[in-house]
Amino acid sequence: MTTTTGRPPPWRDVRYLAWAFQLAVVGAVVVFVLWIRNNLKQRNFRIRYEYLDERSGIPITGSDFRQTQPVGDAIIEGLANTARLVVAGVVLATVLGTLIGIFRLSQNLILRTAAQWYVEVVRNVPLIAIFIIMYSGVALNYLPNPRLSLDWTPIAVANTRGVSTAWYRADPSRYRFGGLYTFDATANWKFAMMVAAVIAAVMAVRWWRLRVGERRGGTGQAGAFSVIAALIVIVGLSVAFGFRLTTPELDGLRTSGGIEMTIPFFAALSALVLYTASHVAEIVRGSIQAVAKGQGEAADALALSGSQRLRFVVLPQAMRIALPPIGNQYLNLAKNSSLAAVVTFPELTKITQLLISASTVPPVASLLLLLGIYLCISLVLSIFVNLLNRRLRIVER
Amino acid sequence: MSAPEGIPADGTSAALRWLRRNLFRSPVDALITIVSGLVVGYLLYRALRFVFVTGRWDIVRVNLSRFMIGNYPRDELWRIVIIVLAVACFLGLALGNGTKRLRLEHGPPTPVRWTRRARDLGVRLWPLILGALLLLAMAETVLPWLLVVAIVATSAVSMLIGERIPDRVIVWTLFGATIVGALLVWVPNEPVKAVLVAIVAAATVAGGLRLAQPPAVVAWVLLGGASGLIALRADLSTWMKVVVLGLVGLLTVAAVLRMHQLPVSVPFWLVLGGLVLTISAVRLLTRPVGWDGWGGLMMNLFLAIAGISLCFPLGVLLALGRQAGNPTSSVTGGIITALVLGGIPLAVAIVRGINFGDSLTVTLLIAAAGFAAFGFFAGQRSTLPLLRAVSVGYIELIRGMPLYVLLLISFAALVFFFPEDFNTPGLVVRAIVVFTLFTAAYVAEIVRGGLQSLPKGQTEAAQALGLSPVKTTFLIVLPQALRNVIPALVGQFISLFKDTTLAGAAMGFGDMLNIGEAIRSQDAFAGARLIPETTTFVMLVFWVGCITMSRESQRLERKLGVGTR
Amino acid sequence: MTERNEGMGMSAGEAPAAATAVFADATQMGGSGEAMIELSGVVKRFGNFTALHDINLNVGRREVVVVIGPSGSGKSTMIRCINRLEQHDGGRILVDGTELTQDIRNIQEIRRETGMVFQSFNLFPHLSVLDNVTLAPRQVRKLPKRAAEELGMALLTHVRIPDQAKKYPGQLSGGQQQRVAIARALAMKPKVMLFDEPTSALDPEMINEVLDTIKDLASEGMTMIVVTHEMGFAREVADRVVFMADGTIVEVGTPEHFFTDPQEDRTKLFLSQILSSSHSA
Repeated sequence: MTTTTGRPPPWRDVRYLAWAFQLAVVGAVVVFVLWIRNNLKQRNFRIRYEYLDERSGIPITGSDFRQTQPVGDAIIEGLANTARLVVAGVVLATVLGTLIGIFRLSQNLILRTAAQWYVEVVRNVPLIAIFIIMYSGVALNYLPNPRLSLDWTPIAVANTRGVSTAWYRADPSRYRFGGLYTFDATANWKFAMMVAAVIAAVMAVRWWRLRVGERRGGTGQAGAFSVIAALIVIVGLSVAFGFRLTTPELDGLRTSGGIEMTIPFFAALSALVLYTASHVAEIVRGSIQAVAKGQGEAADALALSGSQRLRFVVLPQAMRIALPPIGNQYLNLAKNSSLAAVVTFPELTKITQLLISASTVPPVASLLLLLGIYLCISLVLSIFVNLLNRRLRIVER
Repeated sequence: MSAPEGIPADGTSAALRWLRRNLFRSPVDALITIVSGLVVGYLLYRALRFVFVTGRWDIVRVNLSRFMIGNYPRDELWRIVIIVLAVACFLGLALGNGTKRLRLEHGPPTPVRWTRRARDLGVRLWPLILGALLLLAMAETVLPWLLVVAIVATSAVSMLIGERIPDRVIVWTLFGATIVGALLVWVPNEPVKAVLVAIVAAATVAGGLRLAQPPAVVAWVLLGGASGLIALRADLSTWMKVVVLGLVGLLTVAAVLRMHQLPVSVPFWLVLGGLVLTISAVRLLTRPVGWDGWGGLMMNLFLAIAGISLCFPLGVLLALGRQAGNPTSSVTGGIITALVLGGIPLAVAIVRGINFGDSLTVTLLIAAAGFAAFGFFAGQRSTLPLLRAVSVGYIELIRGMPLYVLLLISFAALVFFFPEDFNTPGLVVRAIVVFTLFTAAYVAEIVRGGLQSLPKGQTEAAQALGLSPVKTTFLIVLPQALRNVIPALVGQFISLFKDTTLAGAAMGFGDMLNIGEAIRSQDAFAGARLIPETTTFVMLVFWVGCITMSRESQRLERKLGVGTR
Repeated sequence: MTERNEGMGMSAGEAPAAATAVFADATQMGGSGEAMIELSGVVKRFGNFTALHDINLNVGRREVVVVIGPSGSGKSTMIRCINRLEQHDGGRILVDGTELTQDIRNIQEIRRETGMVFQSFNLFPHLSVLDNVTLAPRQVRKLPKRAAEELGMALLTHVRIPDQAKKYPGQLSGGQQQRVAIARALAMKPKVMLFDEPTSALDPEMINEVLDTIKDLASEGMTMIVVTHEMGFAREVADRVVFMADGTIVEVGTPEHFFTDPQEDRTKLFLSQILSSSHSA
């Protein structure tokens, strides 16, 4: 029975104990890091990045990249490829995934069963196996050689050299996806700028019309105005930048026009899209069911014939619930893009591997750099997704 | 006049109505049916054509055993069989006992006829059954059939035992079996071995007849004694021996002093026994061939199991660190727990002799470090911002990195992070290190979800009773939190299992997917472009495994969700 | 005759009415002997919100104090401060002479000596009833298993559910669970029992069995603070009734004084609201 009105001794004081422990943990981590650093020193290990300026000496298939260009350029090219893969993958996976998710709830037996089987198969299979199958199985075994190309002009042309589809771009000359024909950034920037301009215009117009709607009542025709704004921007910039639609055409053994995807890119993209779409489908299905249940309209909401209700009532709410986990899937897609190295697509990881095996770069330093780049990509993506989350809530209100 | 049953008044048959409702609801729907039917039909046609007509499956048929167990010597297969049966036994016991506990906690289930049960099982597990039949059909001898029958029988029997036989019998059997198993594996083949085994068996039976439960104290003393004995015989300098013996002695005494307070039960002995037997199993398997003899599906399973079990201490630790808590209490409790938990793998590692070139030793040391860290930190749960920062930092760092790149780094660079006199650990060990560190971050998030789902009243009640934070965590919080997230943990295991295929690709050793390369370059099959066949086969096996586990865990989740809270 | 104003920490200058109260001063106690629990000047803040303003209360040994008041009055916060489930920001709290400070040893000692029963029972669902009761004695008081189980069975018999010992909390009714919770708290042989609205989560038909158990405890001489809405119980069992509102103690008195002749307007308002509802004695 102790009566103390003063302060207890520090080794019994709750607050001091808490802090002592924290400092101990941090101290342990610091000690650990120092130990590793010590080991690296012992092995005369230096992480230097001067190699970035040296001659790369590697060929990058499917592009104009010259072996004399510095390593730094090679890495940037790899990063560009990764970006292409991720952006295309995100867009396609979202579209496909949402569709499949809706199909899973359809009243139509074929759609429902096909979607269900698709999801259950793809989700339970190793991703790398999907990459390999798409590359060796589909692309190499299935696609014919250029003499017997699959000619689906003007939509697509496919053979063992690549898959071409119609594309809307400024520079009508031949453009291969999966490598750069000369590091021609301008065409890409123009396209990116147009996309950004459209998005910005739509958002601005929506915000404006919603404000109008708040004052006057109703939605202020936000949707109609957004569409008009988008069209204006697209048409205007197309004229300014010289965009036009190009379609692939078979010209003997060569394909001209459109945009050509190298086989590795095609395989990598399809694998990533198929895999990610299955996850997105499950998320979409779950969120639609959650919303429908909450509204007690499950039967109506799930019938495709009630598509209007689906579109205006259930989907907007469902997409809001679904966005955080879907954003997580985008992050996964970005990370999974590193597997494209297995199908020889020269994205970041593959390029690093090529550089290492050509002994141009020290393995550890370059791999750590690779890791750092992926961390940055993840960080940027997650910030972007968070912003999108928050913005979606504000705009809808 | 009323129409007879089954024939609706307007005369359409049931089949037509079914068609209309499912496929032809409206003109648009009919169009969709036609179009999608064509697309799906075409895809199915191509796939089936590949599987049944154009696919050349000989490569799979001939190399089936290589796909399953790599290059493991065929005359040592009995080791694998024993371990597989032991695992089936363990899982059966765990499942059976778990069912019994669920029944106790939530009341008895509605009784169901066994025919109905069998049919339900068939409906549930059809991928597994079909997959097994497919593999067996490709087998060239009768042995796989016998093995499958043995596995099914063992699982069924042990499930029944777990459910029906009283706990104390199970506990004593586990206790005895663990010690006997360990003895059989670790003691060299001499007459001493047979004598020891006989003694232990007799003691187990005698003890079981008299006492309610084997005292945990006995287990620790045995372990300590064994470690001490083998440390004596190990190839170490005298000074090291003294240190090691002192450490072992200290650990044993500390454990004995605290151990009598632990409420022990079937799960406790399952986990403890499982640990010891896992280590023994690995030793049993690697004795003839070392790590290079492994391969195939066995390798993937081993990597996944090693990854998920080793990452557990670190993952739980990180989850606890990331959570806010209540005022601290004793640091000494944390230290002693750490010493006790870390002592077992450490002791076994010392027993084998600390040879850093030996992959197993390194694995054990990793386990020891992980357990020790877990014990120490679980001893303190508080609102500690620094601790939170460290935990969050680690978790978010790892979650931002692709596993493939981490494996590449481990392959090329891990050796640089160790001191100069450290022998390069084997490939497999490096892969395990990466999987452990990687999975720990994800498990941490899962466990954190479980911790947060626990009502605050539980910790408050424990505190009001005077339980220290250590005890609260170990006895009240973790058992409930972990049990709540078992389905999510299974999901993570499934993910990890699929990701083990990356190890082969990144590091070049022969897991099931990568061994296809070696197989394809055999003389009989070289240049035949058989990648689709081998890859499809691997995909099929993985699919069977993953979908079975996934469905079972969903079912478990539904079952666990039923109950009062 | 009354020192009500000084002791209560209320607004000073209120004219004391002639009181028949014996214990108008919260710091004076009933029961026998010196204070078991002393709260002086206790303040508790949650951010900007002050939940307890200057609470002064003494509870004597073997005394039963019942705390009533509207929701948000700080009754639960007050008793949760006593066993450190909430940390008080000002004032002193003493339990049987031990002050509740930042000293770990004091905190642990006080928690051992106070037992608490919660509104939502908070039984441990993964342990059997008997294990729930014996957990703390075995872990904290280091009782060997057999002795703990004997103690547990005796307590379960005392609360009249010995046959439920091997069952799990999920299989018991609410009233049974709360009685197990009481047995669990008693297993630590505490000097004080704190009850935080023990019957508020129960179906009406089970309230009486729990109240009877608490009454038995009272008659055996346990020092208790009970926060409750059950006025009948308060009337029957309390040595003193404390009325709290807005984080202060408004009025204190014996049950007779309290229910028949309340002094403060606030008290009268509350009682009229309570007693006009179905919560009558």
